[in-house]
Amino acid sequence: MLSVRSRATILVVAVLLCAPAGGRAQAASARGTALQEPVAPPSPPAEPPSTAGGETVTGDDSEFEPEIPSRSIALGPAGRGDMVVSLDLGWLRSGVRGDIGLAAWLDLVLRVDALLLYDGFGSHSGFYLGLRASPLSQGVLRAGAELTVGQLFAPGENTLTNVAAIRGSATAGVVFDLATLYGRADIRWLSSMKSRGPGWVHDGELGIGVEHVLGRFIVGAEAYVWTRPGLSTLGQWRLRAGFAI
Amino acid sequence: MPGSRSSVVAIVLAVAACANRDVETTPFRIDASRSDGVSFVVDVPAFYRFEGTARLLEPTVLLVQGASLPDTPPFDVTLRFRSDAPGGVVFPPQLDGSAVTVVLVSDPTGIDPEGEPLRYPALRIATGAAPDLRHQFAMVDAAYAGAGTNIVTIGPVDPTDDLPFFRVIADWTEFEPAECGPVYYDALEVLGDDERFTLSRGERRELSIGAPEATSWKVLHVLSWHRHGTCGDQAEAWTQFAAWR
Repeated sequence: MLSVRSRATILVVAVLLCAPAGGRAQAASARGTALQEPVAPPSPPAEPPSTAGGETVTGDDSEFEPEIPSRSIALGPAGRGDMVVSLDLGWLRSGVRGDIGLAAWLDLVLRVDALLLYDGFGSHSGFYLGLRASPLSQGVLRAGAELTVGQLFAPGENTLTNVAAIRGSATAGVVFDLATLYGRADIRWLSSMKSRGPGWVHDGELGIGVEHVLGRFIVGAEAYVWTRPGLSTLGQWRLRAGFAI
Repeated sequence: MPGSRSSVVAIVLAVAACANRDVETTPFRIDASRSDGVSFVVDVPAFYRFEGTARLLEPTVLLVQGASLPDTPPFDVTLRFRSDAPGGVVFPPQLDGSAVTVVLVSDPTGIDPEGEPLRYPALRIATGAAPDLRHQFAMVDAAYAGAGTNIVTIGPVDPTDDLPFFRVIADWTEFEPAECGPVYYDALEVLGDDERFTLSRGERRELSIGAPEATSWKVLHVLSWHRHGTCGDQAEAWTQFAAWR
């Protein structure tokens, strides 16, 4: 099965091949008018007629895939078979993330993060694995949801404690030519060490961000608040840079 | 354009702000003063036990009259803690006019979370006289080293049929991003004769212990935490709770 990128390449080549042929036909037509040469009867078309843009529609519709939407870190999808790798540098949390397109609307998400600027790898560092669905991925308005599970590691003086983590996220944005604006809401559950079985605490994040695409590169910035039930809400930020592979 | 340049600098600084936040702790600040002017604080941590008659002067001020220690003439002791104690803790009103047995712990090296002197880490009051004691009140306000502890200076070592057992369980899920490293919120485990539970910060719960007709204990866990990185004289770990009938 051809990828979207391969099909796009074929279409571009086809258009490029068609364009000079059309030009030659027009020139011949002009010469024919001047020299009064007999016009040969048109040969029957071997393929269905072209559309106005010169694109030829063939094949099975079931293999049709929508075009890849504008690239984004915050908003999916990455595109089937494609990948977006991104770096976050922020306060408190920084990390590396990979979004691998499993289907036109579904990405596999891998993420590793730490409180790098604050404490290096000395406090909560962790990894997550999950899925991001982007049911609204065409057009100006885009939205998606993500669910990941993972482990956080908290080093003590002579110990290393691991904490299970589950994170759910919803993101919606508006895609303009110049930039993509988005907002997101996350909720995270962490297993705590209750003496009678695991207990869970939760926190959340509410953020707004902007991204700009430069070819295969994506740069962005985000401001968000870290909400913690029973504790103060803390303002956070992160700078983002991504690369579409 | 100096004005616009300074604005840009201000914005950059605002974005680059890496805010810290320390845990807010309000110690009970147990204090004890003797009518004979002798201090309970000596060169080493000490454990005093004296009997007397209690007079409730204020909700958080208790006068114990006719107290005595070996080789000393009787004296009065004024016990107090801050009037705006967290959780609204006060001395139980049933102490007023009762014969009481007081256990008071003093520590010449005791500090509060900021490293300021805090010489009385624990207090326990029972009505009656040994061996027929009925504990009514316990308060702990203590810094210690490490992460979590089974040695809470209020004793006893094991649960009794009259007084619950307390210990601090180190937890790693919630923290404050303090200046010199994260401060993790810990949990307080409470054991009765047939009941055990864990309290997070600010939580309170009743506990039945001893005879069925005995008045239940009310336990308030104000706050416990441990640091992963300290500045100057800061306490490494802290626990603060109160229990009363």
